[in-house]
Amino acid sequence: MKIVVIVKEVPDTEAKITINGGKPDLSGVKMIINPYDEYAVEEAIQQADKLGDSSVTVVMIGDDNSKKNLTNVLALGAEDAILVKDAALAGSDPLQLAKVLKAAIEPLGAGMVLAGRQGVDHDWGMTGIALAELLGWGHVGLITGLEISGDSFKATSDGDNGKMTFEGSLPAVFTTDKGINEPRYASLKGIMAAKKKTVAEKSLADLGLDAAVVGGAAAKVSFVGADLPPQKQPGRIIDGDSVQAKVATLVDALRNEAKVI
Amino acid sequence: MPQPKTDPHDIYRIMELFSDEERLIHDSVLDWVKERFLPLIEEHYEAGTFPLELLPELAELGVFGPTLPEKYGCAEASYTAYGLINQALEYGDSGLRSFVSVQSGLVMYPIYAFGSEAQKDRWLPQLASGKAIGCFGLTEPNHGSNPGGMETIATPVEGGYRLNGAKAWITNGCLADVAVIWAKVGDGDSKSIRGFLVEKGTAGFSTAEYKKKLSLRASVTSELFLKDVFVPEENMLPNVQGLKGPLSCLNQARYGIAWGAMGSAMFTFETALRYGLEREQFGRPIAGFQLQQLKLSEMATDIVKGRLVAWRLGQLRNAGEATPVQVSLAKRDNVNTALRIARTARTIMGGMGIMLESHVMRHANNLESVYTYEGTHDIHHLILGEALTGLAAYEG
Ligand SMILES: Cc1cc2nc3c(=O)[nH]c(=O)nc-3n(C[C@H](O)[C@H](O)[C@H](O)COP(=O)(O)OP(=O)(O)OC[C@H]3O[C@@H](n4cnc5c(N)ncnc54)[C@H](O)[C@@H]3O)c2cc1C
Repeated sequence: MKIVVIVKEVPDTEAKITINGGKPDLSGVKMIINPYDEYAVEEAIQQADKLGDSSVTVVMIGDDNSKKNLTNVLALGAEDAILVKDAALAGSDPLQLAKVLKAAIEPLGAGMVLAGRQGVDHDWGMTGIALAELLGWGHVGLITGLEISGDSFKATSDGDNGKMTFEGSLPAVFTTDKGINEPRYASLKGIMAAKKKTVAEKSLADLGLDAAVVGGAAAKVSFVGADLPPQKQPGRIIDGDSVQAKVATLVDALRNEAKVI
Repeated sequence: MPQPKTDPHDIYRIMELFSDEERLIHDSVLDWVKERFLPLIEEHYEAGTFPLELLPELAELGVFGPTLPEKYGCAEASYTAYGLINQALEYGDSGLRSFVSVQSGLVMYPIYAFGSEAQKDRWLPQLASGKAIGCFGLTEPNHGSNPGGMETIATPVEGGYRLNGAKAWITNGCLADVAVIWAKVGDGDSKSIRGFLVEKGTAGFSTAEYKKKLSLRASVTSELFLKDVFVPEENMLPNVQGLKGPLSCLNQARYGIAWGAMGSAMFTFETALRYGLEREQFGRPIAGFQLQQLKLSEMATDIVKGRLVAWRLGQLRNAGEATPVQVSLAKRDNVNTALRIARTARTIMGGMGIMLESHVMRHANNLESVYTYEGTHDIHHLILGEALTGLAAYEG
């Protein structure tokens, strides 16, 4: 079976990001593979191993700098990669990106697509779902378990009140949650093998897509700005000679300063 | 907490000197060390045990014999990649790096370089996959810095050799499935030295662990005893004779140590810097005081220099041109630097610095061994001294 994983790059979760003119300043911030996508990659590789006679293709929408991160994914065990890059895609919304992914994935004849449950940058959590809709495939989100047998699947997810199980038929799209597996570390052999694997680069024109439809200029939803959470005021320790005096000061502060009682 | 204004981990952007592939190898091993190894080290250090439960993961990463050919299950990576692996491993613990140095540089390397095809086919895949552990027996109770004086003797007998003698301070000795034992053949001089693959369980071969070490506690160190041990002819390494056999292995391991020491230094420096920024005395972070900044500045500078030496040595090694003198210089000075940095880190951390949970004194203690093994600090001065003057100062 051909298994496709879609991955995206997000700013390093350990980086300290500053806001400049209402927008996050990402200059000098390392881009990493979206952490939720790491579970999707691991699941794809494990499923391919289990099924036998299967291979994993990674599809990413990115830019010239994305090749490094794609190589990392290839080092983990994916067979090849498609990198869609086009300047017109800057600012495209998830539905537009799903259209682009559909065009890249459809010709591959895949049995399933795996994606992370959401990108940790905008937390939209939409791309995988929109892709399933556009492909006309089934979809189970936030999965923490997946079993394939023949053309059917059994997927589980951890709801708030217990585990839920879903059954369906392939092809399908799954988005992965934490806990579905333990993503592996790239092995030396994997890293050495990755340089011999191919990354096919595609533009919108290569995919037969129109920038006027899927480009950022035509986005229905745009990211316009961000604020850091307000700084917490330091707490105040109430001093006093006795418990009674402290309580009196506290009550006074609650009533007259905080005005909550 | 105050913020550094430069990347304290890589002021000179040294990581840019490596290929993407090499950086990826480094990052993957370092991530593993931080996430899988460091959480276990305190327990093992106190117990005086090596975390053998991590052996399959180490093998899966591919750190054993990483420069050797793919056909033996190895990655055929560059020597700079091998260096960066050592750096990442010793960021964790010198004992972890020692385990890998012995397996790769002192056991797989001589089998690969001097072994028969049958020896390579039998042992290299097993050692690469961690299914077998190896050790290297050169040092003896009476012969440390001058291995040429060794007393272990291999007497030719029908079908092979009979080995008698003892080896001291052998890393992984008790754990090993195969020991590379160096011995003089007959009653010859050091030119008669040969390497033998002695398997665990061979009659007359026994080991005993040094139990009360205050250094490298998460590494197993043992004595080996050989009493009329029969070793068949086919277990002798056929393609090397004389001291150059063991010395060329040491050259491999010393190369890795030059890198590994910088990993340890980076860890203790980073730990002290973080502590200095958080810990306040007299109403301000201690890292804001001039005396502590002098220490931090010297540590950071020394790390830049040591890493650049390792990098240059790596380039020469990749080209097959690194000389034993160059390797010796880097081993000696980078280990000395790392030891100084670990001790200084300990002082910056005050009382907290003596605690196992602070990790810096563990590094300092470990480096006392690293300073002495693979040629003591002093002996490496004599190697460079001889190269500079043409006068050997070892004896007489
Ligand atoms: C933890 C640990 C692990 C080890 N693992 C291994 C291993 O796996 N395999 C192995 O074969 N060996 C191993 N060794 C042994 C190590 O290589 C020796 O300890 C080292 O070579 C020094 O030998 P020695 O301890 O006998 O010291 P000595 O040679 O007795 O030296 C004692 C002191 O005298 C100095 N000295 C000696 N000769 C001279 C000279 N000519 N001029 C000036 N000063 C001199 C030394 O520098 C040192 O300061 C290990 C040692 C340790 C501590």
